[in-house]
Amino acid sequence: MIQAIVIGHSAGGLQPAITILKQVPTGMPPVILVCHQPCNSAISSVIRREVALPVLDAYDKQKLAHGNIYVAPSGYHLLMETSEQLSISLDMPECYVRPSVDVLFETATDATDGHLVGLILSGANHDGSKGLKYIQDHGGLTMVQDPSSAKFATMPEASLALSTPDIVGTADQLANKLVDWLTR
Amino acid sequence: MLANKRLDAEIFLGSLKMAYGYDFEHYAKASLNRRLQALKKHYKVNYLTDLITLLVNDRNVAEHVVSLITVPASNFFRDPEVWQTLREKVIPKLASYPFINIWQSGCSNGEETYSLQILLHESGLMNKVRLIVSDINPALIAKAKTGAFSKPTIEEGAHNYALAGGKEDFYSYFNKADGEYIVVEPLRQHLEFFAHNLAADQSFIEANLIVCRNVLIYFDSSLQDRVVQLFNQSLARGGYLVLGNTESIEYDKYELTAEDETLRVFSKPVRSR
Repeated sequence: MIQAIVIGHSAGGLQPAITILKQVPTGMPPVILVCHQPCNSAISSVIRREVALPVLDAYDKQKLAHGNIYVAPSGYHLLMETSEQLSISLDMPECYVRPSVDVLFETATDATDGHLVGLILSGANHDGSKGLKYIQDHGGLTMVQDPSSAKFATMPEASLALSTPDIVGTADQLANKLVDWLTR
Repeated sequence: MLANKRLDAEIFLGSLKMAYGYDFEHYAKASLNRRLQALKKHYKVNYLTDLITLLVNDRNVAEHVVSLITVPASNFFRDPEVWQTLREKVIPKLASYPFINIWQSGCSNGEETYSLQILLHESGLMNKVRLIVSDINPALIAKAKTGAFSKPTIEEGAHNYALAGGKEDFYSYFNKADGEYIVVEPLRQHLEFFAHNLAADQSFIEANLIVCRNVLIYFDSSLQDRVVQLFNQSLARGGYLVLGNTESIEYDKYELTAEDETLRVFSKPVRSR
């Protein structure tokens, strides 16, 4: 039983993220997004314009609800405190970034006991590779955007070097498989 | 496997509490757990429980562990729009008072303490302000008192200061010495530092402004509730409470008013409801 969908991306990952989010049906487990961009409130408003599901700027101790998309605030790590609650920290950057995908992925795995899906999309940074491996090591489902279809291949390639995801594909292929997993 | 990891952490924290009284029970678990995992790397052990013999027999190890799992993070003028609001909306209101009490809780290395001092100095209020600065960690207070900061910290500070509407030369507030930047003497006056534990200690002041940013994020909901009640008790009527940008409280429950909900600026009504 999938309890959360966590997505990490950096440069070039916004479009594939939107492609995937557009396909997520209503009422699904919460989707939580970490992207490395200077101003994440701009990101959430871009996603909000394109995607039908409610897009919320995440805050500390926020309750998670099915059907919503949560976007990490700029400059803070976003964590899953429990399977039903987010939390925030100002701990040191990981892989030179804050928010860090690794931090979200690892805490989300702990909070859901591995009942989650992790996605890594385009990005020019190694962040997320350890987190994705952690998800896989604890029984979660993993997806990585095919580096050849990613604007910036570093982030997907770093993940592929550390783990063997369940699916590697274009944004459309990932979206189809995700919907398949969520609705089966 | 995850259940084992949780048990390992719980037994370790239990030992820390039994041996020394340090209580992390009401800390937010996800970030605390990450710091505990980093501790294993630091001490090169596979399990936290491997450390217990050392921990309970050597107080220095315990102090070191506590300092590693309460690592501070702070910046000058972090979230510039908050500081702009303090400068343009909150401080002008306080300026009409004959005397102003300010409590900054959780000073960390002092970046926000001196950010406040710069605002007060530029508003010409230094001489009628008592700024009380607290932290749970005496080592951090000692560090904050020195007013010494690294070059990258100051460079980032200068950037944020300008974004927050600062018009002066930010670097003029520091003397350069041995590669460090030391806060100039006038900005180190009218400051009182002391150790205060939000989880256990009582209210001690009637403040016109309380600034406590990014401390509540490390607490669970029940400890957050205690702390906000403590702040409420410590606020004078008409006083302001400023929290971190991602921190949320049910302000209505405490009869506080949201002056700016997005920036987490609250006030205590002049008259009780």
